[in-house]
Amino acid sequence: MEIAILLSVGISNGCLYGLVGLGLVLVYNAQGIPNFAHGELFMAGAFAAYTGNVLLGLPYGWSLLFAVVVAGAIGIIVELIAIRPISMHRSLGRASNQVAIVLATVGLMIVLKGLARIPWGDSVRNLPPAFMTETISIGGLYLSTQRLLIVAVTLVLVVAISLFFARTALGKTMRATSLNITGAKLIGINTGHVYSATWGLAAVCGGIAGMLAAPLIFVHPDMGTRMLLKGFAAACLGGFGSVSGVLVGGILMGIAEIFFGRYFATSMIDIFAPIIIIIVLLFRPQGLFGSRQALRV
Amino acid sequence: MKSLAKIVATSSTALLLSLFAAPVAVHAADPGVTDTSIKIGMIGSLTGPAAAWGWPTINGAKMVYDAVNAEGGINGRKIEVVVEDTQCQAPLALAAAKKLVHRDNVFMLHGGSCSGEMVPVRDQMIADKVPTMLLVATMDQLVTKKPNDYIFRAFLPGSYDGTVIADFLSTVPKVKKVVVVGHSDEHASARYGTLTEGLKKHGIEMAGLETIEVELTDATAQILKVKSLNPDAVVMVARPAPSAVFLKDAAKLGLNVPMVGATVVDLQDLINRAGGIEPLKNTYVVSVYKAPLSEPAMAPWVEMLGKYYPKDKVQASAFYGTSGALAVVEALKRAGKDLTREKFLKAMVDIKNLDGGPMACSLTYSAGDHDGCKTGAVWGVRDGKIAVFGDRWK
Repeated sequence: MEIAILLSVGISNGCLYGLVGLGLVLVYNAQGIPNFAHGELFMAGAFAAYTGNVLLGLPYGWSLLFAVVVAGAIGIIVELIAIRPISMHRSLGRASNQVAIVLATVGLMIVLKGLARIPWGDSVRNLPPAFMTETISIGGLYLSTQRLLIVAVTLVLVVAISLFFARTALGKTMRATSLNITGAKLIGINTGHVYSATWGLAAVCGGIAGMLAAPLIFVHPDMGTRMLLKGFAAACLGGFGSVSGVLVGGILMGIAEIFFGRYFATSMIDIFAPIIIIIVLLFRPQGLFGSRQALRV
Repeated sequence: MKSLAKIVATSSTALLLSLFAAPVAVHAADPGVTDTSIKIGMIGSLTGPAAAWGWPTINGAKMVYDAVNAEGGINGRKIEVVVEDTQCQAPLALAAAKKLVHRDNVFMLHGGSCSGEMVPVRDQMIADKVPTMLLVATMDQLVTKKPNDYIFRAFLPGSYDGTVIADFLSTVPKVKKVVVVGHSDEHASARYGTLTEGLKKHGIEMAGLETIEVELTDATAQILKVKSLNPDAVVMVARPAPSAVFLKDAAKLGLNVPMVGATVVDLQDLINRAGGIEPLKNTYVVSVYKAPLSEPAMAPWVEMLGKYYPKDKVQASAFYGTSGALAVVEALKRAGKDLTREKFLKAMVDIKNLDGGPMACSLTYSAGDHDGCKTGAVWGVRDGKIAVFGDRWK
C-alpha cells in the first residue's frame, strides 16, 4: 500500500515537472536558449486561476481557460517586447544574441516576480482544489482527485501537443523553423510569428502546470523558482528534443525523488533535481530519449 | 587700521566664545535628541523574499510611537522614525544601520526582520555604543553572545520555543516518543538544542528528525517515514507554507497524533492555509501572543493598528514589533528630560514586569540579561475554534 501511495504521488509530481519541462523544451527547440523566466509563467498561471476562481467566482473550468489565456498572452507579450528586439539585433552574432536572450530571461524572471508582488504582496493564497471530494478510494488506496486531474490533464496536453506538431500547419512551420531558421525564412515562413506562437504555447504549458499545482502548494510570487529547477531536471533527463521524453523524464524524477526521500533521506529530496541535471549532462547530455546531433562540415 | 583691529578683536572674541560654547551644545544631548524630538532608526526587510516580515512588524512598532506622539510625546519630545530597507541581507542591513547612525544621527536603533542580517549590525552597534532594540530577530546569540550594554529584545528568543514545546508535551497524556519535522536552516536549528534537552529532561524519546524544506510541495515521503517511526506526537519547526502542506498531507495519510508547532507559525494562519480547521483538530502551536487576534485581549492593539495603519492587514506578524516599542517608550520616559544614551540604557535594565502589550510575556530586564520576554502560550483547537491552553495540555 505504501508503495502505491508513493507511486501515485511520484507520478503526479512528475507530471507537473514534465509540464514545466515541456514549456522549457519548446522555447529551447525554437531559439536554442533555456528560458529562466518559465517559473514565473507557472506562477502567472496560478495567480490567473486564483483571480478567476476565487476573486471573480468563476467555475474551475472557466478559471482554467482564463489561466490559459492569461499565461499565453503573457508569453506572447514577453516574446514581442523583450525577446524579439534582441533576437533581431543584427549587430550581435548568433552566439552573442543567444547569450543576450538568456540574460533577458533572467531579467524577466526578476521583473515578473516583482510585478506580481505589486498587487499580491508576499502573502500566500489558497486556490481550492478542482473537486469538492478531495480523495477517492480505489481498492483501499486513497487517491487525491487533484493529483488524478494533474495526471489526466498532462497526458491529454502531451498528446495534443504531439498531434499539433505532427498534423497542423503551424506545428509544422514551428518544427521547420527550429530545424533551420534560414531555410524557413527563404521559403517565406514568418519566423517572428512562429517565435510568438512558441512562447505562447510554452507559457500555456507553464500556466496550466501552475494552476494544477496551486491547490497543493499555495499561490505566491516565489512559487515558480523551485518548479523551474524541477522542470529543467525533467527536460535534461528526458532530452530537450522530445515532447514525450520530457514527460517520461519528469515522471521518472518524481518517482525517484519520493522513493529516495522515503527510504533514504528526506533531506535529499530537494537536491535530487540538481544531482540529476549534473549526472545527465556528464554521462548522457542528450537525455534518455534525445539523440546526438551530428553537424556536417 | 583701528577698524581692522576692532574686526580682529571681535572675530577673536567670537571664535573664543564659539570654542567654549560648541562643546556645551554637543554634550547637552546625545545624537538624535533635540528639545522637540527623539530620532529612532528602524531597519527591516521592506522588500525581497522576507518582505512579509518587514512593514507589518515595523508598523506594529511604529503605531506605538505614533500613539505616544498623538498624546504629546515623551517629556515634550515627539518620536521621529527613519526607516531603511535591509532585504533580509546582512551587508544591506549593516549599510542601513551605519547610514542611520552616522548620517541620520539617530538616538537608537529598533530593527531586524531576520536574525542573519542582524549579526554584523549587532557588532557595529556595540562598537558605536548605540542602544538597539531587536524587532523580530530571534537568534539567541544576538543578545546573549558577548554580554554588552546595548542590545535588547522584547520578543521570545528562538531557543525558548523548544523549552515551551517540551514542557507542553510532557503534560499531554501518553506521549513518550516524538518525531521532529523541520527545516535545516539556522532559524530551525536554534530551536532543536533546547527542544532535545527539554524532551530528555521529561523522559520523552526523540525518535527522529525529518527534514522538510521551505518550498515543500508534497510531504508524502516525510509523513510515511514519520508514521513508520510510530510516534505519540510530532513537533513541527517549519514555516507556515510547508507546515500547512505537511498538515494537509498528514490528514490525508492518516497521521493523527498530536502535532505541536513552533512560534514560526500562527494557528489561525495555518487554518486559513490548510483550507479549514479539520486538518488541525489535533494541532497545537506556541504563540508569542496572549490571545488570538479576534479576542478582546487583543482589541486595543488591533484598534491601534487600524487607527494609524488602516491599510495594514490584521495578521499574525502585525504585532511582533509592538512589545519592543513599548519597552523603548517606557525607558525613554524613565530616562527623564535630560535624555542621554547612558540614561536610556540604565532605564532599560531597570524595567521589571512591564506589560508586554499583545505578548503573552511581561518584560523584565537586568544588567546581565537583556532578553526581556521569556514565555509564550500554547494554542490549540477545541470545539471547532482556537483556544488558549497556556503552558499545559488540558
